[in-house]
Amino acid sequence: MALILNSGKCLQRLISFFLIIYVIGLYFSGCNYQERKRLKIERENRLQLTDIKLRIIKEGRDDLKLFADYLEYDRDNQVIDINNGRFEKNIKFRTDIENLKAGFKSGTYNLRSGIFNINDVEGILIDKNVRMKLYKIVLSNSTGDIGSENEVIIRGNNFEFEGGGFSGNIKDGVYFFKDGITARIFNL
Amino acid sequence: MSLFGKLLLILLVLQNQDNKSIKDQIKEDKSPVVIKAKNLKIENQSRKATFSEDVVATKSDMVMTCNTLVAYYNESGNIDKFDCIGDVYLKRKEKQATSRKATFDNKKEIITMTGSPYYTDGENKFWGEIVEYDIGKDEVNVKNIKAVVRVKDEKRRESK
Repeated sequence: MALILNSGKCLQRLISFFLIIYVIGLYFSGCNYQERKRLKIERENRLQLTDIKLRIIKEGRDDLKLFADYLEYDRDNQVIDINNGRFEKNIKFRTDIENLKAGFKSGTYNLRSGIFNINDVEGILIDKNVRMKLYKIVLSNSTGDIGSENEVIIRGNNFEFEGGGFSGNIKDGVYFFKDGITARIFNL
Repeated sequence: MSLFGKLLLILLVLQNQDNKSIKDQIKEDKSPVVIKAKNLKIENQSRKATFSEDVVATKSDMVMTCNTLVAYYNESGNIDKFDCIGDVYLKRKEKQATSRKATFDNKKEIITMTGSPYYTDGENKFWGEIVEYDIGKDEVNVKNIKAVVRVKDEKRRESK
């Protein structure tokens, strides 16, 4: 009888032991599941979109509008990769607020820093009828600082300036060319 | 095609060729002013572009150098005029001029030199208050002239 009772207790302990192991196992397998899920989400945190209009709003107003044929958004790094895009930004020219529009082939916009790296840009406005053509520029959306190490062409109605790189600020409307410049001014 | 028709065709072809040559000539006259400089500063607020360091402006066979060149563009995106400031030197064939400032009128294609302008054409030398040079007509007008004219010996003999 005592033996039966002992073996019953032993079985109870054995079951309890296995139950604990099972619970611990479940707990750890749950953790692994969460980890796997996290990694999966990380991988899935890139949104790929086509024909997109994106509005970046600051203090209740449109700060920057981005249009793109193809856009990829990396949520973890807060980076937007754009192909065949166009951006629009309101810039104050003297007393008027002009809509600065420029089309470009490809670009990367960092939402955290507000830095825009753009390739093959055409049509950045200096004045109403004066535009810039650039190949590789860095533009800060917050400060308006703009710069390029590559060839830059500025075109007005009867003139053209060609330089090997520049820096400036689109909000202040001041631009410096320091690596040599060739200008052509045509007769009116 | 009749003989008259052929003649008319030949005349038309020749007329077109003449027109082309006239067009080409106009194009040549309308050659742009080419400015080369080391630095450029564009200021949108005042709509001016300032060229500095090794500034050279050329238009066909005319060369102008100065310390700083300031070009002004208007709302339409046109450069109407530009100023050459400091140690201005202008040269076209035999004609040479120096001054402290020169203003290039892009509509009239006239260069107005002020600030002790001094102009020489071969052996003829002129001092005045203002020297105006019409690029199209290749004519120089010196205002309030103080001139030293050295006529060539051959011409002097002819006049005698």
